[in-house]
Amino acid sequence: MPSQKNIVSLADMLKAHASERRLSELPAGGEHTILAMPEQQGEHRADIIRAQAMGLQIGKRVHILRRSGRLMLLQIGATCLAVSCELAHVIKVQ
Amino acid sequence: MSEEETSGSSASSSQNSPTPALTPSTLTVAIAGNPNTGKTTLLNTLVGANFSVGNWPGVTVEKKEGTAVFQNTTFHFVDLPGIYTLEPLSEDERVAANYLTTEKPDVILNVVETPNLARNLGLTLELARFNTPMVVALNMADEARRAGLSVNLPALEDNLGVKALPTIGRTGAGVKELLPAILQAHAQNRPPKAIGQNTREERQRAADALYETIVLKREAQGGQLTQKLDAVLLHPVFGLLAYLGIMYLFFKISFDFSAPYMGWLDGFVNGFLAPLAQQALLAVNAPPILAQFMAEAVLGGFAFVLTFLPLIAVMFFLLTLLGMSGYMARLPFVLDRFMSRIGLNGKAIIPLLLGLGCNVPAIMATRALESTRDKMIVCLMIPFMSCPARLVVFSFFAVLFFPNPALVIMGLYVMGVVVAIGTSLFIKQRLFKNSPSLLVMELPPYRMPRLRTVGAIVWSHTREFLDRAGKVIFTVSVVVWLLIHVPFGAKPADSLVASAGKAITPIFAPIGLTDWRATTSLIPAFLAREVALSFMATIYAAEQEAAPPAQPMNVGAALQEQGVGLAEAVKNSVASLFSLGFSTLEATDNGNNALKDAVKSTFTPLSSLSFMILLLLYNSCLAVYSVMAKELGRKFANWFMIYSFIIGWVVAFVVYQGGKLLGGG
Repeated sequence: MPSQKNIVSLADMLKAHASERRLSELPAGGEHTILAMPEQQGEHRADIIRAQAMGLQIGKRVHILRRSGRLMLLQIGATCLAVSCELAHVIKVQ
Repeated sequence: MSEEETSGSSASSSQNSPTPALTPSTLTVAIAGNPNTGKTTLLNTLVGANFSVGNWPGVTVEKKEGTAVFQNTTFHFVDLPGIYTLEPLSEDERVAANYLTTEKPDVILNVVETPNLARNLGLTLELARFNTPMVVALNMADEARRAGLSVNLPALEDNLGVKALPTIGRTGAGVKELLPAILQAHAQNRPPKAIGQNTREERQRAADALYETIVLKREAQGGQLTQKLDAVLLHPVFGLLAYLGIMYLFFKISFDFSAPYMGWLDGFVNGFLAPLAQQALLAVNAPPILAQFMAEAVLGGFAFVLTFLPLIAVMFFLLTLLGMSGYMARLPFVLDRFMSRIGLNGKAIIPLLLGLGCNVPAIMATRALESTRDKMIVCLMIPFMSCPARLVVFSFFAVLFFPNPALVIMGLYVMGVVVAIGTSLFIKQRLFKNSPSLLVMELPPYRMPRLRTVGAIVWSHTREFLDRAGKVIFTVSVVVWLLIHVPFGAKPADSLVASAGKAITPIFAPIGLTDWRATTSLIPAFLAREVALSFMATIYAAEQEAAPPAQPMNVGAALQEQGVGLAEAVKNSVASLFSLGFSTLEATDNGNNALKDAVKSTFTPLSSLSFMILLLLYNSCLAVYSVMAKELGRKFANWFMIYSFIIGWVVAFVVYQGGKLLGGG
């Protein structure tokens, strides 16, 4: 029989999972926290490493300033980045 | 430290000069940091150089070197391309990472963008792992202060075990103080403290923790002006309209503002310098051959090309303004949707735009592109971007043959872009099936360019043009002048040059170039495009009847006349800024009229257009061929030379024959 505490933490996890979204799916104007950014082994691995080095890192707050075509304009701290939606698609935020 | 203590500064590009021999009192200092943190600006201040700077990531793509002397020590500075991490992804980053790992500098000068300290500290911690004494320059300290950011310097120094100094690269404040700090760091030979050294995540966590410790006050994030400007300039519709407007102004100001000065300079060379030289030669009883050489080779060829200097200077001025303001860095965002249609990401627009200034640095700028595929495609597109050297030829012919020369020149620019796009699609289809790299690019804040810095960069480019004019154009003019008099005493039409020209003329006859003087000019034009014009000027000057000795000139009155002409040129150039349409380019039909009459009798409007198309499209010049061979390999450079010649010939053929069919002359 699960304890009350475990049920609460499971509920939190489910809630967190439900609020987890891909960055590319979100409209301009919102501010989110980066939860995951997998370094895929595919052809765009280098692009993801570059994005991380430029400031797109787990735990950082990201503000979507603008969307235009296949690009997104993001503000992370004092850094303003133009990122393609394809890359933003692998970034999970809350 | 007083400024007087620094002396004997010099600078050189790593391309042009070897690394100086190091003496025991020489310190090698590597300048490293994230892109666009002002490393080259600091180098320029430290060594008194004028290396190109800009406000976009990737201005420096290869290491630049310079020296300064302080307290009997020679500082050999090596400015490295900006890097975000020591795991290099693009070629320029590899240059920096390889240098740091293999060359072992005595001291690392880590230049940090203070307003963006949180991100920059990640690299600082990576650099610390080299165990090399380090000094941190907290650059753009003024911007950080305005953004409400205050850094606890002693805490930073304690945590990292390095000396840290605030600097303002734009004004030079605090920059000279770096020299004693570097000297001290080297004397102490104390490596920085290692923090979070193992994994990237660990280092980043350590950098974040360090940031929290050393930053005393944080208020604003991101400039409000930047956000307001971006709301318009990055808007899907207004942003595109703004881009078209800015490009229109770029060409309008380039042509219209410089045209009065070009007209004046043309008059100055032919109406003042030429008769003055003739008078001086007569006064000293110089042999006639010397007078002939002066008139035909020096004034006819060399000085004639120099009259286009204002056009080149104005174009570089505007290009530098675009780069330093931060607007150029935004073009990838504005134009990405169009670039994606030709299989590239928006970042490719920067080297293409730089190609409007000069194809050589533009091709080198492709090193900042991450994928080999993108780099190769953009490299092969750049030579079709018309540079000022080609503009010199276009403006001469367009003014001479067309009622609306600006429209013709703009048409040629557009043609170059269309052929570049076609080439991109062709290469993509034939060689690369994979998709372009994903765009991830930093957009710097807008910054007001300092006129002094812009002026220094423009002067550096202008001096380069003068240098090339002095070496290539002058040498070609002299060689051509000699060759058109071989065999000695023969008329130019019977000379060695004419024989060579006549041999290749059949190749160009179908595109309307049937005169040996026109076809032969295409050969030296491979050295530099504007040489085509100096070549023709020399030949036509040699063919003309010798002018009768001019009346003795009243130098004072003539100088006064030139002064009045210059004042008029200033007035007209300023007035041109207040008119919307292209105007003054049409009014430059003065100066070397003998040459213009001779060219008019050789070309028709249609054949002149064909000539300009060939000059636009066939492999731009020897320097471009060399840099392309260096970047892509000789095989590709050779292939491109043949490809571009065929494309140029075919397009010229279609335009010329099509024009004839439509009744053009």
